Amino acid sequence: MKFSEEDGASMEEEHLDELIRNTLAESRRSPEPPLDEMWAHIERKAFDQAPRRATIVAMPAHWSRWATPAIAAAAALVIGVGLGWSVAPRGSVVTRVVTVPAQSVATIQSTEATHAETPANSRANTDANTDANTDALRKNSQAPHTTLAHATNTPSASNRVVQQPVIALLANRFDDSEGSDVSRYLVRTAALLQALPADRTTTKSDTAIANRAAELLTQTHLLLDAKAGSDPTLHRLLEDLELVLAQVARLRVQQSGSDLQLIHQALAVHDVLPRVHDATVEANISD
Amino acid sequence: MNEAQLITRVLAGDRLAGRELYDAHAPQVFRLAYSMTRDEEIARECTQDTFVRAFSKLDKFRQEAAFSTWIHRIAVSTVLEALRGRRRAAARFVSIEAAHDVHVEESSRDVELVSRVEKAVEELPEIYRTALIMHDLEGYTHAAIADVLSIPEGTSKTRVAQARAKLRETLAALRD
Repeated sequence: MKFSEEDGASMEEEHLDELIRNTLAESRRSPEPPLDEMWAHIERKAFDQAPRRATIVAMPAHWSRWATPAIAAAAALVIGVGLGWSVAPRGSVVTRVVTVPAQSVATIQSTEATHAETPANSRANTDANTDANTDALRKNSQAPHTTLAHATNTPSASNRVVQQPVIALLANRFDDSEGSDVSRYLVRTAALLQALPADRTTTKSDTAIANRAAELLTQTHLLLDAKAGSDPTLHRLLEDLELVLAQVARLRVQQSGSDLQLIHQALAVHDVLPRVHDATVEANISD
Repeated sequence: MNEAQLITRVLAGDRLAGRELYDAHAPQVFRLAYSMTRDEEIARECTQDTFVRAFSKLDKFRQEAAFSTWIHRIAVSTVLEALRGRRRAAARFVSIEAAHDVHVEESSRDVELVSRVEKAVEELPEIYRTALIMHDLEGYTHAAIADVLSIPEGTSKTRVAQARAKLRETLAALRD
């Protein structure tokens, strides 16, 4: 019986795979799990919290002396705030002032206006700012957070005040509704990043991708300012996404293959997509 | 009592039902956590965190997927989060290679083999490493990996194949 060269190569591969499997199985052989010890911890954390909630309801008798007026005061405060919201003129309470650096404003504006509609002077300024930022991003790809902070804190980028409609996720706590907003945002971002072409092909879809990135970038800024952004893990992820989305949004003004390479590098080096996936699971763990 | 009944009992605060669910899944979760981290302490913490998170969010589990898939999804997410934190800390305070050397006691040839393979595994992108460990070490099917990682089955096969190819390159270099 004769073996072709291909058969030989395949056998060699199988042999190597087996060697790798055995080596890993040996070096990563799990010890016996300390089941009882782990359960004690889980039981304490997962089950002992319910009675604690119950004790708040079952208040000691001597507390009622001061607790009752306190509860009444809290209720009055809630009713007062509710009345205030209902009688205030429309528009005055349904807007929220958000301070956005000028650079971000430029990005927001550029998503709404087409490039051709922008006056020549301001377009030149915006392009110049964006070019400067991208250069800084490239030079500093190992420290994306610092780079971005530097880019938005330059003296030329003086802060402006922009009035935005209230977005529920900004006004609410990071509860289920905000969780689902974050989750929706992450799913959209993951879909966008997965749709990125592997190499430079100037097509209409590139512009669409860049426009969506600019839109998501705006949402990233809002989430960073919101309560959701105070979660350290999510905050780090949002900062990395801010950097990547800023680069993707720039694809529409600069047609360079190296830009795409940089984006793919940033995605790989920072494990961005797996982290987006994890954050999505975390924001809405369900089957 | 089946799993759906156990889950209902746990939601009502029944610890024994919780322990039963835990006994059914904790050994496999711990083994997976250990395979992914090679650290007993971290594996223990990740297993604990997995079940604490699962029990605290059990009301969100709609039983459309198997409980096993759901708990493994949480486990993988918990372990990867722990590993990222650990990698950040390691980068700051200690060389990973130096830490690996501490555990090696075999002959020099085996030491080099284990060390090279482990280093190559650590250097794999996270998505490939996770799929490889789940499939080749822990014996999960591609369908199960696809469910846990929320990816298509074909993607799981591709990731395992690419991970193996990378590792083969490393071993071939060692032979030369």
